[in-house]
Amino acid sequence: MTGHPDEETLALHAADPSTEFAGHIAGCARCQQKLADVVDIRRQLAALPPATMPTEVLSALEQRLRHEAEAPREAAAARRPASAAARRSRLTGRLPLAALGAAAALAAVGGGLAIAATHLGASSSASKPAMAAGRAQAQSSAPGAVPSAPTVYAATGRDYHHSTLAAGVTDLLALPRTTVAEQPGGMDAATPTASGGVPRPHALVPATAAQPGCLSALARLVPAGSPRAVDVARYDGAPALLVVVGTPVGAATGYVVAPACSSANQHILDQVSVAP
Amino acid sequence: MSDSPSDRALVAAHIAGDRDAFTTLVRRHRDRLWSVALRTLSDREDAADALQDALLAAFRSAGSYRGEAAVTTWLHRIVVNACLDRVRRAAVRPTVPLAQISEPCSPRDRFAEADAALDLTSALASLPAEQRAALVLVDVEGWSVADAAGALGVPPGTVKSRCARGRARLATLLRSQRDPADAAIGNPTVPAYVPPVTVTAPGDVEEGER
Repeated sequence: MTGHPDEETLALHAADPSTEFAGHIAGCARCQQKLADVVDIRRQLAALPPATMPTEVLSALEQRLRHEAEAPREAAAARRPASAAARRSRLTGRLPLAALGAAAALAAVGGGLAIAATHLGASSSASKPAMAAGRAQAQSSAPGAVPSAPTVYAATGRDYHHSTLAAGVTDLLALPRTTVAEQPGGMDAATPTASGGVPRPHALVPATAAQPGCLSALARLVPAGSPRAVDVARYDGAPALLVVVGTPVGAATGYVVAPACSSANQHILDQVSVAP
Repeated sequence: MSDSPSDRALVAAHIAGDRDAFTTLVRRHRDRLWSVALRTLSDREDAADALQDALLAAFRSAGSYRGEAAVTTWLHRIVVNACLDRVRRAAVRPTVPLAQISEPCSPRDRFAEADAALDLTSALASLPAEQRAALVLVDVEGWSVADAAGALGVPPGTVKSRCARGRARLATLLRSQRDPADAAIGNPTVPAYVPPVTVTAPGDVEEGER
């Protein structure tokens, strides 16, 4: 006694033909039709075009993400005296983040660290009202002030040594923020500096090896600290990163880390503290 | 050299503190993510809510992304699971907003192709959520069974089975839409098949066949 395979069995057979039912199906018009229907279902499903995300859904989503991204900064800014932030801003001469209109991004690419640029654009101008108020407070005390110091990304290729590290940290913190582009490649692609000073960062910054979480792990070494500056450089002749961690008003600590720096092991080669 | 950072670079940039990197990532894949959410939940508002929940979760947990899977796989996994969580939480709520599935179809017209897609979408919406999610990932999005299994957190055999059941049910539903009189063969509310009969010879037409 042989019956029709049920429709699920036919669907399984369509995806992964088995010999168990092949004989029956070959001689059964009904099962052949059902099998064809199942095959056609797959074809139709594969042909469904992607739905387009409605504008309002995207807007709401971006607003939530923006809020999420800015909330920690606003909380930190609320804990920090506005005048201190303004004083620090005057010292460094940095422009407001929104006015700069660009943000640099440190990015790990397939085991390599790269620096990427993204424009803030609308996101910086569409803050939550509460955040706008916090920013207004900082700006009213000193035009050009920012509630939190941005991270400076550079790729100087400079060869640091222990004796030059403190000066290097100071130089990096004095650099303006810059817009840089992702640049696959290695540390060797960096143009080394000829002078002892730190040059303006390149428009194209070479990649180096580092792992995601390296910066966050280093930031956690300093209470309330955040990465203030990152330089793709060398240390005693070998590829390295100089990561400056600190608060806008406190001392800054420069960590020299090997390219293998990761969240689990930062591979710190040297460090130095610089007074504010 | 591409001017656009890779997905992995955007995740790493987000982890490193770039406030726009994650949004850039979402914008890049928004339609695919939306499609998966919408087709898994079959409800626009639910899909929007689930997608928002999922992407906020991804935003917060990006540090746990280890890079074993593609970023899109990671994101889809979070989105699908957020959708299924939503379905489970609202298990009592029917997810078949399209009444025409159980009603006689109107005759085909010159918009047959668009109708077919609509019919399929409607039929898809009537499937159990787990079957729907498996079909969306495997058949609509073109994932491998193994990847879908990873995303759904079930063995590959379960994904195969869910897909097979889903396809079978879709075939039945669409057949009944094409020809309501044929519902005796495929109507899911009645036994799908006539009792098994012996196949006496190849090509025999059996009882119940058209």
